[in-house]
Amino acid sequence: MLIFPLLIRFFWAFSLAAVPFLTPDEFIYPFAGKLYVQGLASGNFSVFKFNAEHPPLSKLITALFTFLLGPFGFSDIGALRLQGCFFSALTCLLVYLIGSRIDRRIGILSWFLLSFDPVSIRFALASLDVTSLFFTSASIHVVLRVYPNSRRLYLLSGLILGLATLCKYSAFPIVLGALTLILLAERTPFRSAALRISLVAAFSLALLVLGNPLFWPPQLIGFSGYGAFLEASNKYYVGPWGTYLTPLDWVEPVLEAGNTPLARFYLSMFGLGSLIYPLPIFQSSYLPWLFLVSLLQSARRKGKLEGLKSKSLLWFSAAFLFFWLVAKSQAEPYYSVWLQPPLAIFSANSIVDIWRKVKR
Amino acid sequence: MEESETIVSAIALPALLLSVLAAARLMGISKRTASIFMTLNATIGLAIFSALTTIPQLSIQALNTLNPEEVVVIMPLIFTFELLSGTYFASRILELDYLLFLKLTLAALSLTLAISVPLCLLALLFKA
Repeated sequence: MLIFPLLIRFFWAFSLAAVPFLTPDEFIYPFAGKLYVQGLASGNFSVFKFNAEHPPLSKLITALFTFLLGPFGFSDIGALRLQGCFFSALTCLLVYLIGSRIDRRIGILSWFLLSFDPVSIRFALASLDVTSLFFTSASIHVVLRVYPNSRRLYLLSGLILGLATLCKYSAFPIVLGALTLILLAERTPFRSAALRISLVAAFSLALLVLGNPLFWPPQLIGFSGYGAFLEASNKYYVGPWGTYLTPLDWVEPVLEAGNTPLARFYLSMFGLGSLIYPLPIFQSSYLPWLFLVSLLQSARRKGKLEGLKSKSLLWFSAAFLFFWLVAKSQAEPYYSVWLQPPLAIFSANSIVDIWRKVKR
Repeated sequence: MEESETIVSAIALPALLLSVLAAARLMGISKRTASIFMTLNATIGLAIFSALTTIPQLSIQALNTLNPEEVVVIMPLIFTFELLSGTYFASRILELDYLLFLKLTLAALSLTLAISVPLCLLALLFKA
């Protein structure tokens, strides 16, 4: 039953995917994936120093896709595109499953809204992000299915989050942030909430450490993997002054302004970076507009937010504020894909609610 | 990442979280309600202004090219808009008292500034 919508979205996105390439990173991932496979086969872990700023799982999946599809005439970039389109189509199915738990109409509408969203289709080429987003959505799907005192499902959610974090580190704070907000909103007692968050965090971190040789002891791999990771991560200097800036870093401009009236201004909190969301989410997608209209409608009717609507809003908030807090001054537009699944669920839920009220 | 910026982020974010909790306690508001409210407040305020940046005169490119004198005038207006709209819609959605939660927001932000500015300057001074 689910294969039909999967294929629709997959072929729709794949037919629109630009091949050969749009970003320079794309050449790196298939090469890195193959290198990692060779390194693992020969016991040479130093290969993981290459592109060490990103975790290895998505690149290993890329290597698998290139090995499987190569004989059928697919280039490395073609295989990378197929991977991105496949995982983003799977994410659309997950969104359907999450929505269907409440009402099948919400599930179908969520799938439709996400499947044909221009941002979700265009940035299916961001292979690390979309692969990680699939596991992230799966982890949240499991958390939303959880009934009280079901530790096994939290454990499963933690393991899936570990897989997501092994594709891209952003998944970890987003899922933990969403889980914390959901538990806060549900008024879960402190000890119980702390236990659940700890379970998810512990199992995902355990899987991250096991799955990324850079975090293994130096005695085992022959070098400091963590040192290599830090060195690679420090290369990311972007922003107006060629530095990594977050919205909270408003003291730096004060020091740069010296003893001028502008310094006093900067000492307030009106820095441009704090007030403007770094991703242009409203420019190329209908989902944020639907979300905003739904939100304003909820505020106008003063209807209480509960259930899946409240949880998807909190999931969106966790992702939205994460990118606001840590995004570089020039955030990459493809980070927007992380916001689309909760936006689709929230909007679908609101539309179905309005439809029900109109029918009454 | 430069060390000075790491210092600022490391101080400002915990200061913001502690300020929200402290202001909520002083005003007799539950910490859970305050946390959810502040999260939605920031999300909605930023999202509404982000929608307005689709207007060419308010686009990110246009705002980035303002001269310092214009920045001093316009940025506090944007901040006030985000703060008021975020507080209004978050309090409506959560069925809370708008004025009480506006006070909470202002108190938490003022407290964050009062805590983090001296600490950041001290930390940067010691670093230098």
